[in-house]
Amino acid sequence: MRYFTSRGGVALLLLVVVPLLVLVIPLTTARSASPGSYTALLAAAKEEGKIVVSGPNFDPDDVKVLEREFKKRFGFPVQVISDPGHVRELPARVAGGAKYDVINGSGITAGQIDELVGLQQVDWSIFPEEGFPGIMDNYADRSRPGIPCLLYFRFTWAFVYNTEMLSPKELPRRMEDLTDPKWKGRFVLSDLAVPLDMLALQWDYEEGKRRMVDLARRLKANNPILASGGSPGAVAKVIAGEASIAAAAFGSAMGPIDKGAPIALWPFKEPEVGATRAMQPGLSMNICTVKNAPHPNMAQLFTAWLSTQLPAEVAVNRGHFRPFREGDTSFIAKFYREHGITKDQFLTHVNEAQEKQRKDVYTEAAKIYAGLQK
Amino acid sequence: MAKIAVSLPRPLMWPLTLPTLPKNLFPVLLSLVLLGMVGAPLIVLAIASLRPPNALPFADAGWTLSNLRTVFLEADTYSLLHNTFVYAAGSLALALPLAFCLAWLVERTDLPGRHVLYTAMFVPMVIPPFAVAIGWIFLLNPNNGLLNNWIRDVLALDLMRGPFNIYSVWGMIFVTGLLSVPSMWLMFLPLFRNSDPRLEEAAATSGAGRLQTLVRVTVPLMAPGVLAVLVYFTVIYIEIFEIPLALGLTANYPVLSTKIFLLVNAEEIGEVAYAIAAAFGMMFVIIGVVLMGLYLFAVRLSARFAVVTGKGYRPGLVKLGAWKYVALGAIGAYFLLAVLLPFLILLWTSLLPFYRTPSLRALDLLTIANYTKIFQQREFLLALQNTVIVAAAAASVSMLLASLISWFVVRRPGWLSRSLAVLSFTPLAIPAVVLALAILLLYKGTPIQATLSILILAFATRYLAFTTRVMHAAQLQIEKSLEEAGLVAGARPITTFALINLRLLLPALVNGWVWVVAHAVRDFTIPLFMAFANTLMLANLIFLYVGAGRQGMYTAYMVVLIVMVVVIAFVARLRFGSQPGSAH
Repeated sequence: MRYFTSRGGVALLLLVVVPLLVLVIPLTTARSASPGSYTALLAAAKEEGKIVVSGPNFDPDDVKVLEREFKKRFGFPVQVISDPGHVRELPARVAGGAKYDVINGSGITAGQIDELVGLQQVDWSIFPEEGFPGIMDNYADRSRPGIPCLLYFRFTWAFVYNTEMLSPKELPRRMEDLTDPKWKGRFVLSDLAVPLDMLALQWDYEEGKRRMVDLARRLKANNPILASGGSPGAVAKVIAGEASIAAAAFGSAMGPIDKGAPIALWPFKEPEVGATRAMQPGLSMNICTVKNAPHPNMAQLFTAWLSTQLPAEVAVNRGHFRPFREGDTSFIAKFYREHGITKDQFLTHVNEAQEKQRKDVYTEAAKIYAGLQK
Repeated sequence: MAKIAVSLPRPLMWPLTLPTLPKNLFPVLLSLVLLGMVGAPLIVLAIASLRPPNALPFADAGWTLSNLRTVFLEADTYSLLHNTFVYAAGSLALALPLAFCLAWLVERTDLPGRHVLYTAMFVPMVIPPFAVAIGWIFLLNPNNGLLNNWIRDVLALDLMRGPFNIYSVWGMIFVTGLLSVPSMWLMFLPLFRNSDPRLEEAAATSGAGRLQTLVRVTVPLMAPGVLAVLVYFTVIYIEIFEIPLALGLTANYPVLSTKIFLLVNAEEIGEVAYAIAAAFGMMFVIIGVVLMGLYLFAVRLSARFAVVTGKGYRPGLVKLGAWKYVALGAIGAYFLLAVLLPFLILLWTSLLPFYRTPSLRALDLLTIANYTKIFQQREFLLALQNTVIVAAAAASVSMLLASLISWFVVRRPGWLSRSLAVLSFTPLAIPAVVLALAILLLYKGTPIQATLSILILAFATRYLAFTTRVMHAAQLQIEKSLEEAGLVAGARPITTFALINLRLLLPALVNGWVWVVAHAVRDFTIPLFMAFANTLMLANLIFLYVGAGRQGMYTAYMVVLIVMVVVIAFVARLRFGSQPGSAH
């Protein structure tokens, strides 16, 4: 002990131990920064071998598919841990100590997560276009500038109808049509008041809010069946035959259609009253890596992979659709083309003012649906 | 006076060697434990209610009274309160007589098969309420509800819809009332079990008829216990949200819990209005405290109504005669409506990829694929293990605390025991979402964060009010001379409590334990907030599939969960529970 407090000891400490520490510590904490090349990233990700995702809410079947397909694609395994919470509980869970690698959400959600825990700035250009097709387009198409995320998929809304109860001739062509007495008690609305919030964006704040809140009142007056749990709940009621039609997220119908459910999709064909063009209500979702993630390299690789090559099986189950671009040959793209719907009818990028408008409309419309406001 | 040497059996002599402790030490320690469990979340609730609408309680976001103003001063709140009390009163009016009669039939009559019924009553408890609501939607929705279709066909009614509509306040009362019966029944059981029938026999001897005896002897004797049940369930109905959510939205009958659900079920993060939800929680606490005052009044009457004495007694059984067929028919009808029909619909749906109305054609779609998937999932085994551990541990912790609290409240009335009573009742008034949030935030950075322990703590706290009510009701009926006999024999109070009191209370203990297990297994809110990847529970998996609209999978999970809890309930009851009508 005396040696280490002597001059010799101190010298040894300064000359040997400190440099060793300086060299060793970065090696043992090499997980923190981007490795700078795709090959280095792959090696680091392989070592990490695990990913914690939140927001996507992958169920165990999806997790199995993701792990299988990831291993097939990259040649090494990953353990996918899908956080059991919902994205709305994220602030509480993070405040309570939860740590995540990858998050998905809308532009406003991504912005809030950035404020809450920080999102990792990633150089997506290190990912080769050949192996990650369209990755830079996905970066450009993220729904909010300034967030270091990739476009993940787009929600779009459509009418979902029971093919054993309705024929295409009888179908509505816009939300307004559901206020007709012939639909009384026969249609389903989501308790979350979508897609009125998105349809409101066709006008400025005041006009859009006035029109859609008024529409909400008239829809409510026509005795809709209200489904809790959003679009999947609404689609489930149409499948069950409890109602003949719903306005729901496109993707919510895809899994059941794939399994043979007696439902089909129908787009919004005509403009809402007072609008100049028919609009396909939609919302872009982003996927982002979290700052100081427990597995930062795997986080970047997994994010890039999910954004560009989400396994079809998972996409169908979760209603996740690829971006609707020119030359897109996906089911959703073919569907819209068959109905003469063009890309300009999709409003997928919204600014902060529009996000506020959307939020205010769905808050008020949801209260009207719940009977908490006349 | 000469001392009499008493030779005691060995168990009673333990632990005579312990030093004498200060009289109030144990209740003070118990109060501190309760303060930690309940007081801390209450403080978080109060803090949260004073923050801006979307802020977390400990965020640096300033203070505001706007949430409390919104809750207490807006006319909207009182309109919802009116709806809520109408809904609560209706559910009580349906459930209370049913539960009371069922408890009487099981404990005090010669009803055939009551031993089976005694255990079977736990089955309706384990089915998640929203699953029952979903089942009844399939059965009685006005458009294509199975029973409505059948009634229209059989009676040749010229109707496009109905005749019944589950989407109404009557539908809400019907489902809620049915589902409340088992828990109410559980709280009524000790009242009958430990009630000395000699008073009723005396009335009969004096010429009183059965109805007169019931009205003038039995009911007054049980009044404090019945009042306790009324108080408890009034608060429950104010907070319950699964059934108002499933049925009330379409019925256009909003209640207070619908509003709270809307506040915390925002589409985006950062929009969750914890603060206003907490402000509503403050309102619930105030209502709970007022009702608690009523309850304590009932407890003070308990001394006049304690009838189980040290003198040997056996509860007499009323002979039903031909009325037993009516009773059995009514019980059968209850189980048909509360259990069999909803469960069969869940089972049917679990064998399909998506719901189809039962028909011969739909038989072609039947498959066990959903169950095969469940048992192949690694997450299922983890969730199953976690769920069993958390539920069992939470039940044990809660029942132990409840036993101790109820003993002090009943045996040592005073300001300390009143404080214990109020503290134990308070978790009932805290909305589950706020309780989960409070515990999560309080224990951040501690060793129990992100472990099963925090889930156990949350559930034990959440159900403390019920378990204390069960043990209170049971303790009320035990006259203190039994324990005094033990003390006179030289046993310490703790020995008397463990070897005499708890033994007498064992049936209530087992019943309460099973109730907590069933409710912890089927609860959604706490796992959604507090379970992480390594502490995943079955409710998390069910919620994932509900959110995805995958009816086949989530109903399959529900069936697995129901079967699991029924097995636990049956094993616990057969091993540790007593049979109806038996001596204490």
